[in-house]
Amino acid sequence: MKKTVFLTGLILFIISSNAQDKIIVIDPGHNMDNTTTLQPIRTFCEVQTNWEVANKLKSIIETNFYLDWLVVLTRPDNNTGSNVLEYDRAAIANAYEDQAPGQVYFLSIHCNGGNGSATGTETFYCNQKFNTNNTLLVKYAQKVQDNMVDQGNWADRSGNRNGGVEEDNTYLGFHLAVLKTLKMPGCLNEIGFADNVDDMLKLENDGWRSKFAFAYFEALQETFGDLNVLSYSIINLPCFASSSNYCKISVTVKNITTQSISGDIRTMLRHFPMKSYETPTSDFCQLGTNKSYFLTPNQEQTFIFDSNIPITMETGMALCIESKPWGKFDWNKVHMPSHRDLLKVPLNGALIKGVIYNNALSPLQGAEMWSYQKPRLNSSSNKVDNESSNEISGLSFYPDFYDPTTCLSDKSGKYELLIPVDWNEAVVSVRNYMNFNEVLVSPITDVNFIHYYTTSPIIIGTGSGSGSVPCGPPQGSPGTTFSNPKITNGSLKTFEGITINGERDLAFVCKDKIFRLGVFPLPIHYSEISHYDCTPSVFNTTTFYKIVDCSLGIYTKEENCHWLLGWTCDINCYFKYFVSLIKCNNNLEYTSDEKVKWFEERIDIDNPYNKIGDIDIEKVFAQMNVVLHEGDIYRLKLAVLDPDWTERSIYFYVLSENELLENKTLLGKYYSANITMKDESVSSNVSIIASNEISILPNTTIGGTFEAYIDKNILQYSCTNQSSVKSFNDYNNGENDDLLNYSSDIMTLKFINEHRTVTTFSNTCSCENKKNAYQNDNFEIFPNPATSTINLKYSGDISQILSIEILNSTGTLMLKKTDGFSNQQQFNAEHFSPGVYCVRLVKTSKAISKVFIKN
Amino acid sequence: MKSILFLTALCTATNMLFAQNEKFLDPSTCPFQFGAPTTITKKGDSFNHPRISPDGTKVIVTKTYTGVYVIDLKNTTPVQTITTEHMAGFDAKWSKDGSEIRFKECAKQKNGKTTKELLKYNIMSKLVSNDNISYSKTDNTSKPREITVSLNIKRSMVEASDGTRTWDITKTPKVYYSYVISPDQSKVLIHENGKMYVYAMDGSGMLCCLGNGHGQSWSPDGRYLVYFLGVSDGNVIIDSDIYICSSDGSKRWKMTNTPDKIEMWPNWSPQGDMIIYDEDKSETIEFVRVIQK
Repeated sequence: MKKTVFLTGLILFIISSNAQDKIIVIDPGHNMDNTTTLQPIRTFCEVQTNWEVANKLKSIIETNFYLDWLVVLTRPDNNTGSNVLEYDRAAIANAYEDQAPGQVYFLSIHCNGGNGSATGTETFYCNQKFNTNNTLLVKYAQKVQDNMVDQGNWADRSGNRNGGVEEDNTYLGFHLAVLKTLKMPGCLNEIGFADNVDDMLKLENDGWRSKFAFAYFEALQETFGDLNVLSYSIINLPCFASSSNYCKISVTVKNITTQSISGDIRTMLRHFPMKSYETPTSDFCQLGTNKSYFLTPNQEQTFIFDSNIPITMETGMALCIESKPWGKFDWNKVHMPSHRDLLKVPLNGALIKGVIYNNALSPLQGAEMWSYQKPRLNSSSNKVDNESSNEISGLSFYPDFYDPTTCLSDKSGKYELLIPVDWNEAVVSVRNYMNFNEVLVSPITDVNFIHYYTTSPIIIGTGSGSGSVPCGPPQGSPGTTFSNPKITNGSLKTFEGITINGERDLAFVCKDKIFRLGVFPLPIHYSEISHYDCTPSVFNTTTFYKIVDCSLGIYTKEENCHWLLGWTCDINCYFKYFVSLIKCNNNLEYTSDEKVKWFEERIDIDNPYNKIGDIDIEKVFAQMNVVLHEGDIYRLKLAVLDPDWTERSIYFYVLSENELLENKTLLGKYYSANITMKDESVSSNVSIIASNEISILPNTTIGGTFEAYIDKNILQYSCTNQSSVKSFNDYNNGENDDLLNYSSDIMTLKFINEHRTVTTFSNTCSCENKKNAYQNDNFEIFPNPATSTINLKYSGDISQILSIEILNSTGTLMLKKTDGFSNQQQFNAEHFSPGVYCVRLVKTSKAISKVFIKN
Repeated sequence: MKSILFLTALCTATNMLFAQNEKFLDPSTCPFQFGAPTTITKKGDSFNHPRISPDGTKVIVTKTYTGVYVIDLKNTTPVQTITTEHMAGFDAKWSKDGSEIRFKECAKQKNGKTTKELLKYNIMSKLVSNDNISYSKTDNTSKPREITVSLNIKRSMVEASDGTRTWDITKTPKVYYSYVISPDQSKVLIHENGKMYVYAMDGSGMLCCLGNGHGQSWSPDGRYLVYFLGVSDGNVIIDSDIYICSSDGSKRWKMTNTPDKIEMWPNWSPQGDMIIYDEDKSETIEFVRVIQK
């Protein structure tokens, strides 16, 4: 008995002493309230950079499946007026330290200021309260500095001065207020110099900001991770698409804690990122068996993991090293330095997040979700080309499986899949017992959120491949089974989502009406709630409400084709919502007064849709006395209390079924099901977008930049050139890659896919690459430095531009242009004084800034 | 729910008003009269965070958490050293009868082990010992249990406990910190996003918003608070003054107005006759006498 009690106590002790959750308090440095606003441009750059990098770091930590770390930001937003004094930022961290002693770590993110030429990164720690040379504190600061030098590609200011990071008072002559009263290890990093033009360009670059955030993340992980992996080496390298390779890996681990630890360690080959709901039993692709460890502080040990089954590697797989303390049930990630190095998986692939909502009453439910690259067609046979490349012949990600045995009727399944960025096009499949549906994602961009709603019971069928085949594609490969997207008019159950520079572009077909939806989730404008008992009279665009994590999508019911606006919330939604409608012109400028209505319908959080709110759009329009006509564009804004106000806007384009463009000068974008061009003279910058067919009849003159495409995937197209017919293969999702290389004075192009036919005729066709046009949502300034004139070249959609502004270094507006935009414009800067100027291109969704120097 | 949201909105509006306009009432309307500041420590001693004993005769100070010291107000020398441990002195406070000082030593590496301790110092025996039971224990168990307030980090909510039950003070999950309970335990001041909010201790919700402020301390009757407002240059606090406000947030006055000083971390004496604080520029401890008009 005594022995049992002792062992129980020992196990409990081990469990409790290995409670490893961490709390990372991230301080996004200054906001606009700070008195360092000596130079507005510099301050704006720093404030934005601090905030963006802090939130990227927060996102990285929170979306990392293996880490159960809590992230706390020292301020909730980046608004002027929400400044938090340095002592309060420390007090926030201290409040968490009081509840979780020894588990809280602090990072303050800043940008530096100097004489305009200083450059590089530097990191400070405050050793005042600690014993001299607190090893963990110094190690943390040094790791932050090293990672920012390596991954951020910065000059090492701290290292160059004294060979390492610096104690604040030693170099600065004072203790930094934000570090002075911290109860836990914390450091402050100055990413780069916001008053140095070169540094500033880097600080304002979104890609670099992501790298800075990841550098911080790895510094935190490698410093405060519980069991640090010193090194790993691959003895037998697993190969792609091979069934006869054994994987053998050597891993050396080190206990970096200050107490002895013991447990088990294992290595797994997994897809990255993992599904968010994984249970401890859903392991697959383990290399060999678990190894036990007992490590005293700083002790190292090397393990060999040898797979005893053939391993077939796939794109996107990662080596994961995991451990769990003795007596603890869950496996935790140790440190995973290998997922990029081992398989070169691009971290900037498209993260597909899917949510399947189950509204069935039966408890036997479940679903699976996977993605595969769209098969490439052989140019001659028009069949899937399996020989051209293994990597694109329908490789599938292993299905994310929603366990039916643990699923209740009102549960939802969340799925995350990473699609490599080199997959230009992918299909995400969702399958249940009754049927499957596919969502086409193309082109792949950084983040796509796909929310899928089904009215059918979700029940897993047999042979779903839910784990019986290690690391292989699921049984019933979707490449062969689900080759044809089920998109038909009148029974649409899916929608397409393309995220372009933070904007989502949705197309939607229902019955005989075609709708195009432009959703603009960014920028997020909000202010503190100023009224609670809202009435329509106070519901307007200037006093709108706070946004939390809430998505907005559209879906239809299969049978009667009601089109509903649905939203999901992470927490329970409240019972009321506001809807605002306002009519717009083609440039999305408002052309009518706002119609608002307070809808009293209760959103039952316990309904089978589980936390889904929905409204019948037709009903909303009817109740607001709005009759839709062809050509109408409406902005619909929805606010939900959940419990903070959440707002989303969506634009409805009511398209005509047939559009005849005849004898007129075209400008801008044209949407319809079928578009016929006849006797045209296209001036410039015209986009013809149809859901079914585009016909450009002979004798139509086309000039300037012209773009014509249907907004669905094109499987095949062919070209009639005078007397000959030439076939093309569509490798690139309807982007006219072959066409770009084809020149002819007279040609007829015939686009064919499963559902529609598009015929275009052009004699001087210059088809702009659609993908590049969207991705190049940026502008160039040249020459830089400038002397008399500067040129601004913008490759994006000029209809989105609201204004172009030039500000001097004190923030004074020097020049503002609000109309007459073109893709290349010239500005006279002759009268500008020599110095640094900021060019801001303000769009409907965001503003882009560039800096130039006037000599 | 409605009232809470309304109060939130009201407080936000009030807060913005104060933050933008810095409106303070004329000193003549202040119910208190303040004496000239008296410096009780030598320049450069670097003592800070003073806390006055229940009888008003002694003061606990720390040196930015690198030790705990006691200053006798009747005889400023010598300063009594309780500990010179690093990371010691957080949340130092007096026991109700003034016989003991309780303070925290925060998580740190000590002899190869990570330690975090609650300690107590007996004034009479001059011994430091562990006090790991709880801060919430009262000196006399026959009295009503003392209420403690803490952050539930999983829920991001502030909770109160009397030892027998736990209840929510705040209503929505946010980043809360720095809680100070009123002398009669009917209210608690909580910080959120740089601002001070007064909540009812019974869990009925927020009572009012006091605007920006730090390092607050209640008056003995719970009707007023003293706090400081600092100005930062982004690296250090370059200016700070001490303010008094009514606990319902309706009135506020400047107590100090000294551009050449950085007054911070005020503490109102239990007798109500003294406010003590540290002056960061000269690194000294000062106090002013308080006379109720």
